[in-house]
Amino acid sequence: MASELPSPYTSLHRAPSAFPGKTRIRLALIFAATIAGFSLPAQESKNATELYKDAITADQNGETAKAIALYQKVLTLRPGSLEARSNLGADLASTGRYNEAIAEYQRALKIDPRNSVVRLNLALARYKLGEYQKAADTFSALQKEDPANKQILYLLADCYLRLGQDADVIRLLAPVYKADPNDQAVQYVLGTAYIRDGKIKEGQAVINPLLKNTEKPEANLLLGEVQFAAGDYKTAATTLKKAVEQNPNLPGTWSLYGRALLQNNQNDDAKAALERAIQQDPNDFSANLHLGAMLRLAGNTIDAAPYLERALQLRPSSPAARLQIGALDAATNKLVEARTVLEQLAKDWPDFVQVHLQLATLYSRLGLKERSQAERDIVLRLNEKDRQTGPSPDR
Amino acid sequence: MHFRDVSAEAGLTTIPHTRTDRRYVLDTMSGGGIALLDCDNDGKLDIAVVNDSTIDQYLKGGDPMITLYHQDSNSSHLHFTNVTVKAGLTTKGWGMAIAVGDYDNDGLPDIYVTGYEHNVLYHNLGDCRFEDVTEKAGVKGGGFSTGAAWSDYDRDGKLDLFVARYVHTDARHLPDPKLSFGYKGVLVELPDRMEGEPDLLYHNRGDGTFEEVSKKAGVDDSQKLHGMGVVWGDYDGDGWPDLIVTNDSGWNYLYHNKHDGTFEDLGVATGIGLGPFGEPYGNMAADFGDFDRDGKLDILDSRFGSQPASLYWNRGQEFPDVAERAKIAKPTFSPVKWGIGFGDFDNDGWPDFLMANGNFSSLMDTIPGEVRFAEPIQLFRNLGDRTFEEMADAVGLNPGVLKSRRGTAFGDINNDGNLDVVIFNVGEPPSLFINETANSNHCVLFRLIGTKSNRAAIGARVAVTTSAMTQIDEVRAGGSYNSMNDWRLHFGLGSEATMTKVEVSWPSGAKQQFQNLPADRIYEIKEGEPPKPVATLPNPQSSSAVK
Repeated sequence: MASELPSPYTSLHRAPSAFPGKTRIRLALIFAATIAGFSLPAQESKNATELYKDAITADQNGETAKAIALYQKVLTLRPGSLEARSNLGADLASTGRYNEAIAEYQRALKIDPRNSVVRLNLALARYKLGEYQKAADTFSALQKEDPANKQILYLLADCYLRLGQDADVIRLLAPVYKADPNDQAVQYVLGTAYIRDGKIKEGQAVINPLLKNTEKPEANLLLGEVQFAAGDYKTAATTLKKAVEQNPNLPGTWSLYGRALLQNNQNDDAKAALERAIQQDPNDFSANLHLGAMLRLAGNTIDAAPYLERALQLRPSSPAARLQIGALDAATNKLVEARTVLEQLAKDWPDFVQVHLQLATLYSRLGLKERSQAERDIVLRLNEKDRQTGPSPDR
Repeated sequence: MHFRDVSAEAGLTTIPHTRTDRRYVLDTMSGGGIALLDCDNDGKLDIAVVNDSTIDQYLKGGDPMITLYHQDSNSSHLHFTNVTVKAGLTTKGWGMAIAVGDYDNDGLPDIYVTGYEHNVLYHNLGDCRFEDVTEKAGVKGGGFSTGAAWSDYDRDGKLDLFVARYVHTDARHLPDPKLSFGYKGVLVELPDRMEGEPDLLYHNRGDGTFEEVSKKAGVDDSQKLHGMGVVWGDYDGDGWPDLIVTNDSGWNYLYHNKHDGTFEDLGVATGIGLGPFGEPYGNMAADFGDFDRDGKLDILDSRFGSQPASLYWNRGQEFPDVAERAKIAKPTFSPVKWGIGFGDFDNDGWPDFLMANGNFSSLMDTIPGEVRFAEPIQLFRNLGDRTFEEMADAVGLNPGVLKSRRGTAFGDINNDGNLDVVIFNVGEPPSLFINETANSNHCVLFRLIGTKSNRAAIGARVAVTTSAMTQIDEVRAGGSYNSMNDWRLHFGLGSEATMTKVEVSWPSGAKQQFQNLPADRIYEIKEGEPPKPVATLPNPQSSSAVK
């Protein structure tokens, strides 16, 4: 049965994949309309104009590869063409060649640094690559320039959610929710951010309308999120299992299901669920982090490495990802590298108990007994504070 | 591999004065100790079981703190007789743990029993008769003592004694359960927030008295964690005994012996102190053993329910937890785990391990989904590739009605070369599982006698080499959960009928090496002298039925 509920994850997460295409066409049409003004007296300019026109036609006919080749020819003749550069980037992005697209957008922005369409496309390409922080920086600037643009707002909120910056999601969406409490996309994302930020009551108040119908996979995903946040992992796993059975393609569900299974010590099932989550979305930070951490703890450092590296790439500032990389280095006898990572992490997050635990062991291995004991004392002091300090492993 | 429960037919029938619907920490966490010892040196193992009690019974004076079953010498079949009273083991109290050592080096095993408010040291007078020398020796303890273990930590030739202590509780002023505590609607007292008690180290002066030196030695537990299990072992192979104290709701201590009478806690630094996320576990007991035969002692750690047991792999200066890799994390996750220990139950040369389980009160059975009061025993067979396979049901360790288990002790009770098992059961007589495994594997037992070293040779390390393997183990006097294995060291040798080399490292520092010893013997090795076979074990492949 088709879902009547809007899937905020769907609307937000899928939006970017549709966005570049739409944006590209928009650009192409804009620039197609200016072809007349594109003419220049020189023979090569005429050729460039013709080629550009052909490229627009190819785009409109859905012949992306042909369009790319034509734009590239245009740019050989007219390297300073903002239009061709931008449209080439859009075509490259639409075929998944995000790194090349980014390079073209960056060249385009050298020509017109304030061009909002190119900046948006650049941010979208980065979003697709999982460079959420860079994407968020651009979306944030664009959102300030165009606060009424809901697509930019959603994308920025989604970046923050993926970066674990839940407070920023709340700051961004709480006023929007207040203005329109029935926007279900906002309900979902804001509610999720509240829950992940530990504000369970606020989160439940926001998402309650969505939770009413547990026949919907989206509702079960939300319910599972609430149960997970409340520490009821057994119930969360049951709810999330129902969600994945209802819609195995619902983004984020396998990931959270895997984490719930992990909490229940069902490691084999958790591994399968997390692998499924990553297959569905290679940029799922949480799935990469937890699968990598699980493999590392099981001593499988070779398999753990790509997941943990990916997690760090997705959230370079994530203390949890940095911790895992430090621990991975230690486990693979890269003691100097481990020390560098963990010491910096301890400076950045002095109350993160796991870092000090890792450092206590690392210093012991390095024969630095006094330092090891000092780290041990920090661990014990932090535990004495009831272990409520430090970031959650997901952050 | 096959076991048979012969408890009742062997005469282990004494029912302890206790109850299973336990409500207070004092009774939920008490008792559990069991020991294998040869109290009269007749070459046959006897069994000592700690008696726990009830609050009412304790306030009226308590129960004798242990029951001693002597293995009959002239019976045609395996049988024990309760000789507690005749043996003079009549001191009353509320028992917890047992550790057997020879503190005066007279060649007779002495018994130390911990308990609530006072412990007791029984000096062996010979012929399985004992005298309570607690007051004279100065080892009464007090508070809520739990695990205990003997070791000559300063290598002066005299056994010292470590005693862990749990939490402060007053049997005469217990809180009103309705006002003070509860767990999921059941009124049971939980120890998590209770004040702990420091631990004790008694240094043997050599004149029958001890000095409490825990603070001076740096093992006093100034943090007042909730001490549970205690086991000594030389994890770094420097010849000096180190010490593990498992703590409930806290981090484990791994006290590294600094060779000067003091210790440093490396629990957290080596990775055995806390969980992977820095979380303290409800640790119960630990054991040392070289499960992968790499020449270094690894560590097993049993825990409360919904926390996996850990297998800490000795990598020199750190102990990564390889429970997941060893395939023991998942099967050990759920139950409340108590007694734990390594032992080669099929004589294949790879140390297996056994774990005794059960929730702390039968009241927990009223909570849906909670771990049951009576839980199956678990036996993990070492597959030789750093993984284990659970097979307790298949080998006959869980027949009939399940019981709530606590401490475990291993030893060759019928001298047939197979490692047998005794287990403490809450509210019931102990279980005796005779190992009836019949296969083609060879084995050997060593009884060590110190001369310059402490007489019981506690802390001596034996390395047995065959053409296929080298194994190590040490003589210990206290471990598992509040319990005590046979002093004799048992090694399975697989298909090897000859040991190409046997090396003994004595606590005194002396080393001895012997070549080409035949397997399937019980050897007595006196420090400085060659091995003397004192018994021949049945040939492999023959039945090891109860004799």
